[in-house]
Amino acid sequence: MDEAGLIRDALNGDLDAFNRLVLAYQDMAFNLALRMLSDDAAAEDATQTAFLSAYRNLRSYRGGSFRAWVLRMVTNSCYDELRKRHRHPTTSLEPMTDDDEEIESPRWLADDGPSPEESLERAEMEHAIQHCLDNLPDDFRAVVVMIDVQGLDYSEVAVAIGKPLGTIKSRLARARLKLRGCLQAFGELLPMAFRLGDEAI
Amino acid sequence: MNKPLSPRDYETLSAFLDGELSPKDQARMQARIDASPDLQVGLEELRYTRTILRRTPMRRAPRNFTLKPSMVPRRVLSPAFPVLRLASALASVLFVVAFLSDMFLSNGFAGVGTRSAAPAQPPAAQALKQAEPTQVVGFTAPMSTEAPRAALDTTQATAGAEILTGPAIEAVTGTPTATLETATGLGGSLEPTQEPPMTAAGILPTPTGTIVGLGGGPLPDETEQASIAMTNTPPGKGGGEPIGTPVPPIAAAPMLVATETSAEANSERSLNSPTAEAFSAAAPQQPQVESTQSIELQSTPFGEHTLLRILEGILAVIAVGTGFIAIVLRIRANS
Repeated sequence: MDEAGLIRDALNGDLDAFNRLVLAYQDMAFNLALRMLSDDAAAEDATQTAFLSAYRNLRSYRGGSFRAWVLRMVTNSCYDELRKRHRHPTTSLEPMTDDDEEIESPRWLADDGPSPEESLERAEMEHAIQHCLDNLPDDFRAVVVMIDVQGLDYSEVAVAIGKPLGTIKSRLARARLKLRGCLQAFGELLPMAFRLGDEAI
Repeated sequence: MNKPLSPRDYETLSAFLDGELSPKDQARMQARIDASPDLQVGLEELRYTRTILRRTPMRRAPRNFTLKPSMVPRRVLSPAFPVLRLASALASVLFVVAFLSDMFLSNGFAGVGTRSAAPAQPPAAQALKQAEPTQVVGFTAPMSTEAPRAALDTTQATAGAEILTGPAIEAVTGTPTATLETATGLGGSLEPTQEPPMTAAGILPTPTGTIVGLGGGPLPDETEQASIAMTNTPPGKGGGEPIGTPVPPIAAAPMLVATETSAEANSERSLNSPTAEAFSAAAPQQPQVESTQSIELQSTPFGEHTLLRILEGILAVIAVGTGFIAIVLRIRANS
């Protein structure tokens, strides 16, 4: 894919060229939105909004990693959605204790529909990870998702977040520490290969 | 007892894990990790966390997020936009032209204003020429040969009365009175015993005809004239001031005009009392010049000036108005 050529054509109003870029990055954009928002429908909306915004603001792209630039649009779209949620909080679907705290019960997390073993393990792990990610501050979550889940490097994330490298490093380390504690609580639930001490990857 | 790792340690460990430290820091951190079991444990915990996160399943996008033309409607500007933009640009250019013209004309008018005093230069030359017949008419025949030089000397006396006291006076020794009168008329104080111009103005009749001939304006009364004359007498021309002080020629020239005209107006009487006549010609000279200047300023054609400014205002309103509407149209098209 001639990314630079497609961007140039898109800048000249070629919508097809832009849509080819959309197809190239839509999975990554959707997954980032999904991990950020923890909701499929909201992630779809955020992704669509992000690509629309990207097309309208294509002239603000000044070169560099186009992937990071697209993810910046997605991140901003997710932040907008999260701000809306904070203004209009909704009831969580997770069970609550009497003290209005979410139950972090492996039993509840494991209470998914019947599925093949591998699929179940994956689903359990995904639930656990998403649960831990949801407990992170929004800024930390964006950094750790882009670096550890999406595999971007620090400099790309710095572009996507619009923060210096030092901030990215700091946020990532703190996010990993928080996730470590959270994921250890799911130790028994996680597949054997991912339990602490058994890591041989 | 193991010392818990600080957030700073974890930050360095995290960057070390990702290979984001500089080679030097990477080697140093590796040495620390090798020597510290706590750092080794911390590093393993971070690696474990990262491994789990990297195993997070990637979902396929549930649908395509490609954009349709209906989702990104082309920005349609009103057909009036280019017209308004052009009108605004043209009006702006015309406004600038009108403004510059206004400035130019204003300077021109100011120049006329200055020239009302400046006729000083051309009339000054005329005055020098006409001063000759003035002296001839106003005074006795023997003056006819000496007066031109006397007149010239008197004009020079405004710049340096030294001349008057020296060779000029001697040059007109045949008609000492005339020379003295002319010098007095110019404000030069050759002798302390000489009567001040104000006194002369108070005694002698004002040459009204002369002023009418110059500008047709009213003549200030004699007291006012005298006061103006006293007030406007430049230093060096008045009574006790140093005679040698240079005087701007602009003031001297109109006085010569006045000398000439008043001399003509009173030519009939001048034969009887040349000294008094000279005083009468000298005293009101400055007020006459003042009134002439003011009359010329009043007659400046401000009508054209006002018209131009009205045009400027109209152009400015058109430029701003059409520009504003064009901006509104563009904003509405973009929104």
